[in-house]
Amino acid sequence: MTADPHSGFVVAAYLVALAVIAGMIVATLADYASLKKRLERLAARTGRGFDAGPK
Amino acid sequence: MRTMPNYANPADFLRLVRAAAPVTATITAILFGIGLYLALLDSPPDYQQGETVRIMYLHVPSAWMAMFVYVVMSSAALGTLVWRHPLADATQKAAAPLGAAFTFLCLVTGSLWGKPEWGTWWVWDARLTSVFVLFLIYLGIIALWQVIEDPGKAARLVAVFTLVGAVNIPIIKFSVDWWNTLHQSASVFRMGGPTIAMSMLWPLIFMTFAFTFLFLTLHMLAIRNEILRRRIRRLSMLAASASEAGIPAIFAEPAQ
Repeated sequence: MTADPHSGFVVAAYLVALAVIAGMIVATLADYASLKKRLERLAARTGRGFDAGPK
Repeated sequence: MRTMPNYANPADFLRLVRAAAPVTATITAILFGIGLYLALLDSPPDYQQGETVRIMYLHVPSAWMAMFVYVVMSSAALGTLVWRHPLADATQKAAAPLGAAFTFLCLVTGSLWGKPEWGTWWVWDARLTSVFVLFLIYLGIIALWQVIEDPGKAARLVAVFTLVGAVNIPIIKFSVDWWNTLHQSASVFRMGGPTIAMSMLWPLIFMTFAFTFLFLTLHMLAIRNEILRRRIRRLSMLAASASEAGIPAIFAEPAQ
């Protein structure tokens, strides 16, 4: 593949895909972590239990 | 007697996510492993395009997901407006950023494929323009959710906007047939079957399923996040109304 004059375009496309997919995964997990922390704090203040779903 | 779980119930849905997310995540990883092996190592270069054909294994699945996610959102919009399903607006809100990301990936990979094959990064032909419009619609939907404070009002407005925007999906699909475009016509999802060689079709199929399972996994997790966001809102309102009334939040009734 490296001999192809356009291989840079292929590599760039796969790197962009990696960045976009990793971004989606990290954003979803980071959002969950922050929500879980806020919910735990609030649940402790209001005295109500919560189920934050899968770990 | 054991009753059937009601997945419209957020608590039941959270239990479903707890059980299903690890399974779909594992399936996604396996499909990506096989798909990337076939796409990058096993499939041959194209006799005309050479190695750049490998961009197809990202571009076509992301284009498919860009439209599929919008169809999911349109169905959820119907759920909000017609059946007032408790999870419909959460489903729609959770899907929009994922749809925008897949559409962005479709546009960028298309551009990276277009430059060596067409000699240009971008051209305002019907297919490219209609996908770009889809990207703008996704951004509009995300913005609407952000700017309208009342979640119920936001859900109804976004549902109407989503259904109006759904007219763009058949335009994207049939743009290459209705107008003379630089973009090639359909070679996989077409009457009479795919025109692509099996050695290239298999990696495409695996990558398409990998993208689909990635969406299913992330969508489930994002809906779970949305349910938690609503619980936080409800508990915050409860705490605020309790402090206004001068009673400890622990004794207050949940806000409606």
